[in-house]
Amino acid sequence: MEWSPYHIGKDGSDGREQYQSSKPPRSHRSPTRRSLALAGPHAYVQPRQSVTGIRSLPIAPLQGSGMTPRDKSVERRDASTKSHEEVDPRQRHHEFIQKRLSSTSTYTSNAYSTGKGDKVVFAESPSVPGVPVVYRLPEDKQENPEILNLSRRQLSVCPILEGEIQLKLLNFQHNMITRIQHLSCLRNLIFLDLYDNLIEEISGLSSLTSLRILLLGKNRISKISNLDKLVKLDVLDLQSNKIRFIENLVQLPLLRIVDLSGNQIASMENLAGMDSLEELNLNRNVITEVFDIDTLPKIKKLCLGSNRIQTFDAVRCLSGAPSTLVELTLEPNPLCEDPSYKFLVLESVRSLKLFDAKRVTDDEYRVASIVLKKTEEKKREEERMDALKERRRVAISNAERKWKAQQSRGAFWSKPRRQERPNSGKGSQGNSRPSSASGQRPPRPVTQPASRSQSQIGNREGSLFYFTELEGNRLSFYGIESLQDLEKNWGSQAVAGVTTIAFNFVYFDDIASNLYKIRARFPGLANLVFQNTGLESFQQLNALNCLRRLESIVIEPEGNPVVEFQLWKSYLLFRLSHLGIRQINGQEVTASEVVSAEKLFGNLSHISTAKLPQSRLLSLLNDARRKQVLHAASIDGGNDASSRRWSLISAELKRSHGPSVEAIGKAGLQYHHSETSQKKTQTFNEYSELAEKAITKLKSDSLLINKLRQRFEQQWPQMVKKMTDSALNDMRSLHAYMQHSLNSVSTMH
Amino acid sequence: MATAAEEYLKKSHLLTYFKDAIAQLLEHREHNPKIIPQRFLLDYFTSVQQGNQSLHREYDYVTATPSNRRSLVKLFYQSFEPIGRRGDLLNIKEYHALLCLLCPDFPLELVQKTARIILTEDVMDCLVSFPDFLYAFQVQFVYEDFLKLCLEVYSGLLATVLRANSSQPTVVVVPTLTMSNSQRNETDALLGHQVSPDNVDARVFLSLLRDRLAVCGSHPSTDVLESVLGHRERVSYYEFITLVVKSSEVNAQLGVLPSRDALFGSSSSSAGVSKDADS
Repeated sequence: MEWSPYHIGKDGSDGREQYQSSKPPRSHRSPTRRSLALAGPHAYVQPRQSVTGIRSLPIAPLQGSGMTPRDKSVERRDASTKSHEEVDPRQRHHEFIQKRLSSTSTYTSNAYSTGKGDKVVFAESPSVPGVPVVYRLPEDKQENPEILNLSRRQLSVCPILEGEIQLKLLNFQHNMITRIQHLSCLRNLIFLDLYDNLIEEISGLSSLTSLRILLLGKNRISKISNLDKLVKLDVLDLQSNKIRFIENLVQLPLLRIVDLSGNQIASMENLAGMDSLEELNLNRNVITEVFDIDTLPKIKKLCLGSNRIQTFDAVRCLSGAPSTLVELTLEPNPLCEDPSYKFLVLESVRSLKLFDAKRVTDDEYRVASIVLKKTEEKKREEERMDALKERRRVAISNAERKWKAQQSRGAFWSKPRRQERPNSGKGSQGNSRPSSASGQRPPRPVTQPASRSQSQIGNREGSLFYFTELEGNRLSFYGIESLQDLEKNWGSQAVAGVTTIAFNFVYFDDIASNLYKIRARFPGLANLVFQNTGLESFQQLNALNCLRRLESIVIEPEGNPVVEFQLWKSYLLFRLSHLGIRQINGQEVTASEVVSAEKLFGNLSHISTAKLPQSRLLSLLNDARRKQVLHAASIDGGNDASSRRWSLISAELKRSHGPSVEAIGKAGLQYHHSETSQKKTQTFNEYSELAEKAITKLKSDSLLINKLRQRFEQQWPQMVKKMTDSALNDMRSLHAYMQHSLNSVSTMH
Repeated sequence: MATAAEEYLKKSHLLTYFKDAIAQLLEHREHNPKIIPQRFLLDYFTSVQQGNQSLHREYDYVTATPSNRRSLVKLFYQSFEPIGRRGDLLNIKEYHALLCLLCPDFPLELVQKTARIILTEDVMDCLVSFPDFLYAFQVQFVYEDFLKLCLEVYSGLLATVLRANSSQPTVVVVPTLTMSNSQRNETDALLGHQVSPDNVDARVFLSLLRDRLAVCGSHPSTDVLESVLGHRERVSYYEFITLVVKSSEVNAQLGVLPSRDALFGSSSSSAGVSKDADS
């Protein structure tokens, strides 16, 4: 049973005058008490009383007061000096009306009550069959000419009231009236109570121009309408109906108190112009948005509890609320779960004295403003982070797009790049932006102490193409050009803490050529993540052998075709066995995996050691070492003091003969990315040319010699024969020979 | 007589090795000034003699001589024999990746051609067993020129047959030795799509082939080829190549790989490898 201060004769059949104390026992409060917020501004909330509660009230004093004579005239009571306790409840009721009539601003919550149901006679009108006609005996009428209580009479229609022109208060509570009618002659009616009936539409009220209080709670009204003639209306109770919109209230200039609780209203709106409105109860609706508070100059009390307000934005107009607003109820609403909700509201409505039924102190306002300032800062920080995140997102997606564009240009992962590279380099240099991306970086160094992360965003020609971020101990590279950020000053402490490096949309060959640099810069590095790096062959994995240690490695299948191979894990384990990998792609490496990897690929290193000539093995070994050493020297800051360099090299060589050195057999398993291999082949080609020349000369020489020798071999037998022949010829006549010889000697001289 | 000497040099590829050896020596000396040239050259030619010279060398060198090619096949077998022994089926790309461990710039194209012998189509994702790949690769790699010649002879023969069959003269590509790659591809396309008879007379094919074997680098001997064809009357190109691949006589003549039966089964071959490795 809903309780309302205006409701008369809750228990009409009791025959007793009921009295509701203005201070009922608190223990009888029920959860629905907020729905009663229509009560006066200072008596505020009236608890709903259970029947037993009413019965158990100490009614002795009332009975005492009930003894007061009943025949006091209305005129006598107009001076409202008497204390309420001394006045007969019915008198008080009158007094209440009196107050209404004189438009007193204070609106007491003191319940008035009526006596037992008024004695009436029901008849049937001959002119309108089916409609009861109500008469009162003259003496009864004399007693209370202005009040008529017809509650709980099982009325299904409004009866015709004969000779009741004087009526000021009419009570139809708890009937079954479906339509308001037969009231048009009651021009003096001030108070009309139709609580708990079956009315579906507001109608038949247009002639009641004196009406100030209209109670239509607990009916079936779906629309606020036909009220525009009730220009004097002060209190309107439409609680527990089926109203969906707030409308047609602006025409009522004097309306002060409106109860719309327990309806289906979704939005607080259409209130602009209600200059007299002081109390508005919208509890138990489905409101998601609140408007127009700032257009209510006199609003004092606003109830919005048990609605569906989600965000503070939905009630943002609270901040424009006039300073008359002293009481506000927002609980419960989804919004209230926000921890800063209270502070937000208090900060925006500074006039509140009572908020969610709790007193508000100055301290709370202070706290609220401090908390709000903090949350504001936090929010700004978040926004900044969001902006950064957005930049990150854009940069990464650009990097991805660029990556994919390059991929689609060639069937193979590394090929397009080799052709691409010189072009793109030239392009960016031709753009009068010599340092391409790095020059365009946002001027502010991006350091975030809050999240302890740094990021570098590459920005070229207005859009972001690559992105590098350091978050905790994880350094992530996104985009083909992002490796140039390796040179960036990340801060020595941050660099020392890096244990994980992730590459995204970076060509593995570029990574490989920077591995020595990475090794030198990030001594703590133990984990690598490759995603979209174009890893496509076993030999590329060779490049990783230069790392100092590697606890885990992740090679995402995305953009890394090598993962499609069945043997890639085995090869990785075999080739990088000296690094002691414990995890591959998130899976622990088992001993048997290591053994089988060694079994599968062990022959490779066997063959290298056994079948390569020692000198070649040595030169292969040196190749690998030399790379490290040369790099170490260049890292040293280009200090060209050669003596120092040589000492460094020898130190490095000595060091690398330590136990951590990989098996010699794997020396041949190196990865020569395009640059170094080009350089190598170039020098080798020079040597080849040299050798070629030497060999050609050697060849022609030896061929010539061979030819001469063959000719000599050919002619030698004949020459011997000739010589023998002439010798024998000479010997035939020794004398003649001597003569001949002498002659030749003498002719010589 | 002089030409005989040159012939010898050309045939033995001695100059190639000399040149490479000297270039290597020069390069090596730069980083190791104390090297003894005689020792280096001895090492070098020992490895050539043993057939290990192709290990970790660039593709140009590996393909420079038939011996180098054989060396790579042998090394491939010896290095990855445990993978084959385990019975892994790998796809062509993975075999290529393995090859690249021995010869970093080995082209994918050649491995793809190998795949076509086995699969008779371009399916890169198909899984191939190690022996299948090994023997096909051996033929494809060592007899690369021979296979090209076969294709030329075959498509030429096919074209003439076609021309004879069809009454109206059509544009027929007459393959020659100097045919460019694109032309060959056209012939390929011709073979694949337009030609209705997809085989030729085996005897005619063999005799035509025999006439031109002289210009080809290394090839199986004609006796072996004859026995490969056996009593077949008609043969298509890929049938022929498959026969060559499967022929144990061809394999024996190459002398690189053990016979297919003895590939993993006999412990002697693996012992041989490990003995080789230890020595």
